[in-house]
Amino acid sequence: MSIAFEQLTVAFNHKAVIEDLSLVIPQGCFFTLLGPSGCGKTTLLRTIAGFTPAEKGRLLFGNKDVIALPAHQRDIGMVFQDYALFPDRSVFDNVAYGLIARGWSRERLRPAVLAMLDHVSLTGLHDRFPAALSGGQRQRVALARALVIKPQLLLMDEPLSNLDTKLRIQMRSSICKLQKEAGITTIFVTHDQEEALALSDLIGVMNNGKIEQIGSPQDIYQTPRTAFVANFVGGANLMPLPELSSPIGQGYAQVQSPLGPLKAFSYHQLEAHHACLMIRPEDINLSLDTGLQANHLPCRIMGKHYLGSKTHYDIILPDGTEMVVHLSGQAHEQFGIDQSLFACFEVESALLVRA
Amino acid sequence: MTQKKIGLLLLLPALLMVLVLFLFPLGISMHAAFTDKQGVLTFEHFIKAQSLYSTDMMFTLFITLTASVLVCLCSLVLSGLMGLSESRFLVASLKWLYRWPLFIPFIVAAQCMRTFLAKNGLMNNSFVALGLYEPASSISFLDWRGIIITFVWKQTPFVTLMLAGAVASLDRSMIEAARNLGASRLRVMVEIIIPQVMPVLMVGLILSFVTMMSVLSVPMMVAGSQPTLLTVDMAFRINSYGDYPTANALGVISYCMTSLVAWFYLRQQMRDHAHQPM
Repeated sequence: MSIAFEQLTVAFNHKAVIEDLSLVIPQGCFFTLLGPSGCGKTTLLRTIAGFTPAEKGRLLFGNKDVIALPAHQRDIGMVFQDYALFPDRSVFDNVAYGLIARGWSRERLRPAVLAMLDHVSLTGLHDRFPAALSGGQRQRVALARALVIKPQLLLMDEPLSNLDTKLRIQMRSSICKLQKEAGITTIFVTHDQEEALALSDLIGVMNNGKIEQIGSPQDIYQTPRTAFVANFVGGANLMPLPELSSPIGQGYAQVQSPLGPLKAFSYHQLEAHHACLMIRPEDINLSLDTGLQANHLPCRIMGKHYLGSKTHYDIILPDGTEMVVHLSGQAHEQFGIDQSLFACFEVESALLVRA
Repeated sequence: MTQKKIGLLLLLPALLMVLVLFLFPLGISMHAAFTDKQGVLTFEHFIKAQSLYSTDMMFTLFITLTASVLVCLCSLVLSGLMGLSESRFLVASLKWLYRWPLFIPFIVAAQCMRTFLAKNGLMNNSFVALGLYEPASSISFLDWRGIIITFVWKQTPFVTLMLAGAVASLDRSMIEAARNLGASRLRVMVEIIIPQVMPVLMVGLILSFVTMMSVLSVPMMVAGSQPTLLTVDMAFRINSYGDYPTANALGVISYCMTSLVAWFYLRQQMRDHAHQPM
């Protein structure tokens, strides 16, 4: 089932936190709402679930507007950040709760619940109570409870945030697998860009109650539309540009930076006075000479940190602009603090984005 | 001085207060209830109390238990509405209104009920004015029903106060999870909230039961006639006859009634702890 928002507005105390949001999420899609704390992503999720009323607009499940339906009639499965398991009920009863609420008999629901517990690798734990489970197991119970009712839509509110790094990575794969198997349209909320990139078919990057960009993980990372998206999803070096004389169309462009002309590329149409240059840290090379790359800026190394798979360099340009460079391999090991070098990058790596 | 001694020293004033103000008078009363004039152990005061006031004993149990059940229902409805209703106006109004009876003494509440529940009281006059029935068919509620109504009116806010706090402290996402899984608000209240606030509800009801057992003004002012509550009988034995031993025997019987309720609750608690999920 596809999900669509049409000019959805959510307000608290007459102040809009989400304004005129329109968006379509295709059937079976794993859609992630990614954004910093307070950007409105959880509010949007709660509005979809029916816990926060919308001020205006429509929320379509397929062709049906559900905006006026109470939470318990929306047929949505939701996984909460802290799992929200019922502490006085066993794992079996927690998972069975949604089916009981739908009027299933104990005989009918038992095989369905046990099969779902098998599916989330909780075989044999059906008699345990939530207090006797690990974080990962609780998370899987919450997932099983949401999936067993075969909802039209699955909502997940930062479900991995309480897990340790190793378990989080394991659970990512499990969630992805289960979602693909069930084929349920899923909306996942997170502030963790790595999680979003790893799990999603589509990502909506939110900022101040608005979606700044929607696209596949590759689109979002490789062709960010705005400085916010570039900066929030992966590291980005942003260089403000002086006002451009004319709007920039898609394609190659020569721009005037404070350090002279630079060759850049734009994936999107940009207005003249709202552009800045974005270069990913891993797209910059440090070199003793100007090299063969299209752009090269003199720089000095301010800091160097070895991170295992890469080395993190803090560099400073002659105009005082600070940048971050990530280099892998061993060719650069001789570079040291205070050394003067050139920061070189290709045209396709110097992206023009909306400031 | 060791930590243990300092601890005991700090506890001493409180222990002394309990000893002087509770255990000592209780001991004297118990002694008077179980001994005759010569100080010999006897059950004659209990036999006398039983022969004179057995109906009142049953009446007291009936009134306090019925009122407790009604208080339980009313406070569940109120705390449920305050915890689950989506109408901000309703929640705000209830929160503002429900505490009022807490600040009104029993004797004032009883006086209010006299003017409200009498044959020509405010309630009947309102019903007559609304055309719900003829003045001739109006009846007085100043009997056992009046006592129950007064107790429920007075004690519901107390239990609701405790219960609303317990409901508010529950993890909100658990309630939302149940709603999300398809449970109506009533179902969430019955299946998710009540089991988790049950210990608080039971404590509130027991405290309320004990309070109702000890109220003198309400049965005297609202009902007045026989049968009545044991508190009235105790006051009557003392004021009319100076019969402290029988009054003490009635006191011990009241104490046994409240102890029975407390024991039932404690037993249930221990059973729940024994079966508590690991």
